[in-house]
Amino acid sequence: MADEEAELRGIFLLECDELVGTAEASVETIRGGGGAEAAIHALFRAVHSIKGGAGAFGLGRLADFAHAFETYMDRLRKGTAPLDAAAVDLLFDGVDVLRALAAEVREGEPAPAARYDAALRALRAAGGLEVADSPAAGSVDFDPLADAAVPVDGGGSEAARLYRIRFVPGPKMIGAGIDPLRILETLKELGALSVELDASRLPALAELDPSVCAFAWNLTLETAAGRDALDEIRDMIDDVATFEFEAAAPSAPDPAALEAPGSQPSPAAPPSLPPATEPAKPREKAVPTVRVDVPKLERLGNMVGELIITQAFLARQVAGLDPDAHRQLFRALDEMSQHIRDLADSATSIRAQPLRAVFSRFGALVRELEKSTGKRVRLEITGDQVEIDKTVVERLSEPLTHLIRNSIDHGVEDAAGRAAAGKDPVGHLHLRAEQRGAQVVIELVDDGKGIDRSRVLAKAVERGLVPPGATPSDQEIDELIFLPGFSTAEAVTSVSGRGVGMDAVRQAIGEMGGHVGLTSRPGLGTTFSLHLPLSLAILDAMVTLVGRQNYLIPITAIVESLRPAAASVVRMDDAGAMLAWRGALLRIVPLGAEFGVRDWRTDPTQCILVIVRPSGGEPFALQVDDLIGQEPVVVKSLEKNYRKVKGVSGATILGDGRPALILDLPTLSAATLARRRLERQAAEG
Amino acid sequence: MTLARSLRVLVVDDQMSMRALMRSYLRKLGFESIDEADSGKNAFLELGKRPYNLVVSDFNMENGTGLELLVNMRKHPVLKRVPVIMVTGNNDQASVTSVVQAGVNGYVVKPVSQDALKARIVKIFGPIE
Repeated sequence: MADEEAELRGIFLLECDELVGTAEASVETIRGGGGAEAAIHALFRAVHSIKGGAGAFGLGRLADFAHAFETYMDRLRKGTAPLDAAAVDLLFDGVDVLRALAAEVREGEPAPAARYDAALRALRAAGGLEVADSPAAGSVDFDPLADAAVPVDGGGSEAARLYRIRFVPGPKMIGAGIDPLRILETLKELGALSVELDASRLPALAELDPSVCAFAWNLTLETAAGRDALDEIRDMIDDVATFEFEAAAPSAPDPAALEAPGSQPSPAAPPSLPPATEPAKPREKAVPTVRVDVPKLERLGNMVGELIITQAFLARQVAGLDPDAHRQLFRALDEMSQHIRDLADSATSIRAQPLRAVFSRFGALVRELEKSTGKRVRLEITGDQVEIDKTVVERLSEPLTHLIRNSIDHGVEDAAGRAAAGKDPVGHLHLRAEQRGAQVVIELVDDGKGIDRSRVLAKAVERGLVPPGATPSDQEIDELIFLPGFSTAEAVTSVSGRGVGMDAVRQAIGEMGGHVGLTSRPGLGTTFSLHLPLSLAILDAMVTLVGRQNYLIPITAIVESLRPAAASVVRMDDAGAMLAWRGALLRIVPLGAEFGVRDWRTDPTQCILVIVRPSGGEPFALQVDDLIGQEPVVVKSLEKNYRKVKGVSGATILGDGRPALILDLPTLSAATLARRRLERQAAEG
Repeated sequence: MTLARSLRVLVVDDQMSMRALMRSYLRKLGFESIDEADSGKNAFLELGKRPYNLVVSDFNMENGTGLELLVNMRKHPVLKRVPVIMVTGNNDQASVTSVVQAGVNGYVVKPVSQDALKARIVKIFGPIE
């Protein structure tokens, strides 16, 4: 029963995410001005659905908020509230708070109280709902305990008449699914309503029955709607409540003086309070959870890792056996390897969290930046369901925030600049994530002006980071912005000039075992790529031999392996060699030289060249002595156990028990570039 | 055999969670034959496929509202007799009025409780257990 409820609520929360997404997209459309009417309708529906679901699953705060939102939307829809820039801001705020409230239910982390209160207050005010003095969390929209007559805004018109109304909910009213407050709200929509509470039926606390409304109300309504409207309401609730009204002189609204003819306090009914308002505590998580110490999880991960190494060892031991003679053994080993993989996946997923947890904050960030820069930017997010280690998710917030600030501040042009470049006046920022093998790759793509390479180079020369007269390649220039202390911002701006440079981003990502790359096309935009390892990474690797060392290349990055013909190797004057491959020249990176290995084969034509393409990078050729074979390996962090080594993303133990290094291809190509540059400069004097 | 077990119900809502919730309520009330439709339009198609004894429909749906479904049912020679319970939003007096005028057999206001739903069903069929 409780399980079923939790499951139903889980379904709703998933739906809620979609609805919030729809709502946000609708607000974007409304802001864009195109098809505002349809967008308002879609937004209204989304909010309405959230409200309905939240109510059904007892999520009071979410329901209250969605209700205020919906009421405001209704005004926008009817045109009784203006749809201006302030309205759009309010809608965005509303969407953000809806998302935070949904997260509150899911994660158990309370939504920021100040934002909630402020947005709720603003929506209530804009929606014409009564604004309580203190927006106590979980308060209902209409405060039934207001003991003073409260005039409420309404559309009084010339032919308005004054009615005095006595409204006494019967014992069955709430049970029949009719909320007394709804009646008050309905009346309020008809005109100017004054409300006086009659709490005389309120019993002692011990006798309270929460399913029965113990209150009654004396109301004064000034409306042009006429008797028919009141008749209609009375017919609706005739069987569950007393609803009496009479026309009064419009001059003296004195609800206290109203005699309630035929009002029966229905003594048979155990009188009671209206449904209790909900405390502002975060609700329990939608799915039952247990808390586990991180070290315990790490131990589990390590054990799974050991298991994989043992399995690889076993596989090597039996490799020499005749498969036909040992069919059962091979089958059992295959099965075990599959189970170990599943076990590893489970161990990884225990610590995993969807990137949504951090990505969802950036909509608000972008809007804030739009305000402070005056630029217009649309943020598109894809792949936020991709999961990664929870600690990584938390630590991603700052570097990603910096990258987004950077893109909007330096990348995206202002509307005039974009128009001059023939682009959509609204900039486009795409934050996307995907899992590639044992990595999660997060990319931030902007369609701005790209990196101004001549300016970057000039600045680097000025700062002594590059010798004057050097002619670095485009890729080398782009790399310069990651150097410590490098900043091309001509003036320190409030947006990204905060003394935190791209080097801090690279460092932060590096500390998580990942790396940052970038590609930029002048006039077209810049893409930053963050490559992050999965927590318990099991990598399919090609084991290679260089001298007497093993180096591992991630299988997913390998395009082709070949033994080059002499004619296809082109020696360059800077002591390097290139490979002619499919109509292009690829840089050959001899691993022996790169890592200072002894006794490696220097002649490329005597070696194997493994052509690799790091995710998001240019292909190049790794020169190794030989290939040993493919093996699943557990990635161990070198930094944790030793220190960061350039060109290496981690280490592992092979099936034969020997340690081996796993190559980090992007930094390997970058490191090679840098070394070549230095050599060239040294040669030039 | 309870009455509820012999009745076939069609639950209409564009939100999967609401359909699941309604189904869960109905099962607890003893119903066993419960089908779902995700819009007024699809509900009308579904109603043509097999005989239903009761329709529980959401009011506010994108592709054919509950009101449109109700109006179409009431115009239909056979479906006009099938009882309809409408689920409406809680500050939506206009929609309540409209469905009452269109001949709804009962309405429940969100958030729907099992008891409220039961009360409406009992009002139509008498005791169902």
